[in-house]
Amino acid sequence: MEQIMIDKIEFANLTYKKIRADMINLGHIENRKGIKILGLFGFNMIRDFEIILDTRGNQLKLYRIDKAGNRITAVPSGFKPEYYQPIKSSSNILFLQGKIGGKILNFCFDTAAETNVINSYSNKSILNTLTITRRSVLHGAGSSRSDVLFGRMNDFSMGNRQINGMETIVSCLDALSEAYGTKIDGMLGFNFIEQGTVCINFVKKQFSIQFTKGNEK
Amino acid sequence: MRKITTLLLLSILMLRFLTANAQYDPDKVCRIESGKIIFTLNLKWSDKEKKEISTLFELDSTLMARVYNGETTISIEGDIWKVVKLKSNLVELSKPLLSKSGKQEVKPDNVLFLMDRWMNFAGNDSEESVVYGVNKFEISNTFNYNNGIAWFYLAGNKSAGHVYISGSFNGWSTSMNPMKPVGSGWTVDLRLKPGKYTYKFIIDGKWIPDPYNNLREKDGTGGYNSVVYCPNHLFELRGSETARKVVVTGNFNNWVPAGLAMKKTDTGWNLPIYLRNGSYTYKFIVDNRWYTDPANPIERRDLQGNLNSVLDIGKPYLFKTEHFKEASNLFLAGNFNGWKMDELRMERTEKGWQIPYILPAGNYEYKFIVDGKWYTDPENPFTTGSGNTENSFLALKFNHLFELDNHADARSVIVSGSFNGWNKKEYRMIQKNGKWIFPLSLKDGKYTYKYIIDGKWIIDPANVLYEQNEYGTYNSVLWVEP
Repeated sequence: MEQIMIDKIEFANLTYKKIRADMINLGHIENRKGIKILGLFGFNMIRDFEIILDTRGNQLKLYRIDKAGNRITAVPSGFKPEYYQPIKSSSNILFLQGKIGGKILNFCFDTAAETNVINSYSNKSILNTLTITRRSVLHGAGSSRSDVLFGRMNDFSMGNRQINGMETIVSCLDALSEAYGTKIDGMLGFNFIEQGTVCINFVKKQFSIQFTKGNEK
Repeated sequence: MRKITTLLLLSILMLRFLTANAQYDPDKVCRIESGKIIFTLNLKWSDKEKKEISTLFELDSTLMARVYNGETTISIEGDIWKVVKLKSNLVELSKPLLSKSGKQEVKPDNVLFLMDRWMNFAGNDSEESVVYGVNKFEISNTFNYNNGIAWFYLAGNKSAGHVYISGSFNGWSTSMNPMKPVGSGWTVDLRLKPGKYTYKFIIDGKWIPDPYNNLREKDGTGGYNSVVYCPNHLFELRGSETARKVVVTGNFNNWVPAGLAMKKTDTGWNLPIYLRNGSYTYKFIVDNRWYTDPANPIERRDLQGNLNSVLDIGKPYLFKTEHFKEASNLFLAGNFNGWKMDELRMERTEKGWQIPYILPAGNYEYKFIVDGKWYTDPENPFTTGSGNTENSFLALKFNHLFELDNHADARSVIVSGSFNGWNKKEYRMIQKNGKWIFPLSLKDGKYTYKYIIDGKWIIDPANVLYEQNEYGTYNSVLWVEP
């Protein structure tokens, strides 16, 4: 992979100078979405802000924060978090905990992932709560193949919020777990983020959410 | 007694219906357990139900057939399936989940590609592919289209600070089209061409679909976009004031007898409609009786001998030829009319033969039928296919011309890409002034392509945009902008 230095880049009234970036082919994203993509912003571009992601309002809000992680401006954001969780991060991956079938699971939190994923080798009590609605066989290099399943999560909860019906892929995550050097039970992606307004504060290492969907337990 | 029988019959029917439902529930078919994928199948399912299950879960039809034949171990394409019979017509089909042993991870991109297919993301249906559309506003005075100006009205929200309209007409801009406050709400005028548009309102940063518009489609992120059509035709029937129901139906909606409901006016009935450029036939149905349009003098008999009214939208393309002067009959047939060989009769002119025919922008194949024999158009150098399947090719209102220079001595040059499924034979380029050229009418978006010169694949030397492909070589990239 080639690394390049970007002299100057501006976005949302922010100016970045001398930004290091990886240069890779993003044609596959363009081909899927049919839109031109110049590049992708990594989380480290906005690490020094409190990040509020409101998918319903189609908004990403960035608040300047001080060294302790507190907002510098006093502008009210209208965001009333009802659940907090410390973010565990290892090798730049964020982890969140959620509960399925009474078991606490380690989810890797990926805002760029389009959907959730559950490890197909999870405990029976976890898999039993899923409804499988589709299956497909993906052909990889050589003669390798793998089953990819798609379904709904019927018993997911975070804090005291029960969220039913989130769509998920069921797939083997062993390779991913190995790559990150820690056990991953699943991934939370866009399907999860759209359950409410999400706030991430890297300095405080805190994740919070104001749910707009789901029921209180 | 009769009543009791009916009731009894009804309840038996209900029971049958209920049990049939209980037996067939795709959500209950598949589960995963201890590294195995297990399907519970019912031997009593109908062929339609079996087919749906085999599509949903990618179960090979041969595999299904063998399960239903009572086999207990089925080895197919490297998988070994076990079948166990359960009680009451149920069988369990299972095999170990793939991918564990190989430790090979599913490529994220392939999974996402599957997701697109499964979740049916919005935006797949391009606006141009829409043949017709009529609006469905709950209140009639919230949208109006006149002389190319579309007027939108959003009621209420008086306390809002800023309201914008954002949609396919302004590239979903969040700032280009602010709405103006009026007495009871917000309005905006937009200059729009006839067609289909999707939009939302942004009220102080909150996106909402139009609350009074009942036409909606999925926006791909869990919500809905409102859909509006700017009409380019008014179906109008004068009189029939005492009729209870008047609808219009035609080839644009496959002659569905339910038709499109027309609205009663002071002078009769009407329906504003958007129709894509094309040739249409239609009839009015007044209280279940079919009539041609009394105000339209142009009528055409269909193959069954029924008379229909004819409506042409857009400018026609003139198919013509100066050949075949001695022939007695010439017909035009192509993929635009389902290759019907006796529908489009060409008229004799001083120079030869011609027929005007309306088609939307696009790529078409056609042939002339000369006294029963099929010929390609001798005056059109562009053809696709070969032998009996060689057809004349027409890129109507083409928006891209593929051009290749410096290969004057090549014997054959093909352009192949994502627009034709990378077909290696279809789009043969022709030589003109030392250059190889081929026109195509393409919808907006991204395309990847290559040239095949005498069997050798190359990227377009004149195009600086290219990207790596799955074979480790490169494809040229073409963006077609709106």
